[in-house]
Amino acid sequence: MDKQLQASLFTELMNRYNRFIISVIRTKFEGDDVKDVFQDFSIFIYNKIGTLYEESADLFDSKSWLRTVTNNFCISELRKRNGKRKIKYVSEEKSELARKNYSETTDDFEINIEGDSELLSAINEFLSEIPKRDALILKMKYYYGKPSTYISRKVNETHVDVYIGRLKEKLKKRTGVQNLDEFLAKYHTNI
Amino acid sequence: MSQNSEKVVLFVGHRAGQLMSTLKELGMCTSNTKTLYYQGLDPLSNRDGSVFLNNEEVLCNVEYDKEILKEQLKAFFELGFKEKQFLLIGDPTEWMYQAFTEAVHSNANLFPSFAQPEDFYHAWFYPMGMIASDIRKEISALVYNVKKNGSTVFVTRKTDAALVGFIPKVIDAFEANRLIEFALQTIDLEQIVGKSKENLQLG
Repeated sequence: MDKQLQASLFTELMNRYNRFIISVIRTKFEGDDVKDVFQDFSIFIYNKIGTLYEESADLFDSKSWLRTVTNNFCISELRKRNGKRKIKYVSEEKSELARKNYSETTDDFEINIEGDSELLSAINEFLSEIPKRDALILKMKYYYGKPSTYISRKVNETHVDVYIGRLKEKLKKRTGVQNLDEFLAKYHTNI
Repeated sequence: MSQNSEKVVLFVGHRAGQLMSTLKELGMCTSNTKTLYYQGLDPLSNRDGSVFLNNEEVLCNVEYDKEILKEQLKAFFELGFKEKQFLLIGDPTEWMYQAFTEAVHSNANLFPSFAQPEDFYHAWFYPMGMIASDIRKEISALVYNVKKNGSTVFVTRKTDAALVGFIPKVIDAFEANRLIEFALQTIDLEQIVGKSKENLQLG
């Protein structure tokens, strides 16, 4: 597209609709952000005119097109900005190594994995097989050490202890371990 | 190009203003050519833009709205122009052009001593907003206005780059009072409104 024509069309568009564009931007941004977004939008619309003017005749028909373009631009700007601020969570599995390496090694956290590694892997396998809700209940009880009332409230289960007892029975059958409570108390950080 | 103080060539609007500055750089414009354009300010400030005549601010703090511009230009036109014949060059898409045309026509009706609508010749660039239906409506209204007032309108479909070489020829023809003949001789300038040469001779 002819650069002079593009500049003229852009000037006319901005002269006519700059207040309208700002009012749309103000619905999503405030303060100095309005100025920044308006400047970015001006560059965006200049380029858009260059690419779309000759191909898509219907696009420039009315204010509604401009409203849609401005709205979409604001939404993408919001996404960009929020994306930068968002904390990136690392899954528990991925962070396990880091927790092992960087957590404080006090007496409470001394774990002898080597001796019971088979048992641990059996428990982990059991946890991956049972429904997520059940695994969560077990983890809350033994990994995080939450009281039964708290678990009851969170998972909406009235008889939490009975429920856990049944799960433990299943676990005993699966792993063959008899003194499960002792084991869980000892290895509570590894479930 | 010859000089004629009774005539003025007015480049109205941003697109015409750009062309005028190119012509100036190339030394291809006469002294009786003027530019009239609107320059907006920062939209986040409380002030509106201004209207410039030959890079001189003549109206300040004017909103870019067709009706407002029309009213402001009406008052200015009464003081600012004394010439008898006008060639307005510009893009009919621009509100500045539309407002100025409407202003001069209504003024001419009010003040018989001023140039009358039939003394206005318009040379339109092919409208940049022609693709938009909203703007097509505005252009239809403008065509109706010039037709009603008996002005003569020509349109050229040349690109902006090609206009640099073409517009001086149009200005020459206007100054030599042979604009209609020129339009008949070339395919690049079409007369869309106004009496043809044959009609003028018959009349």
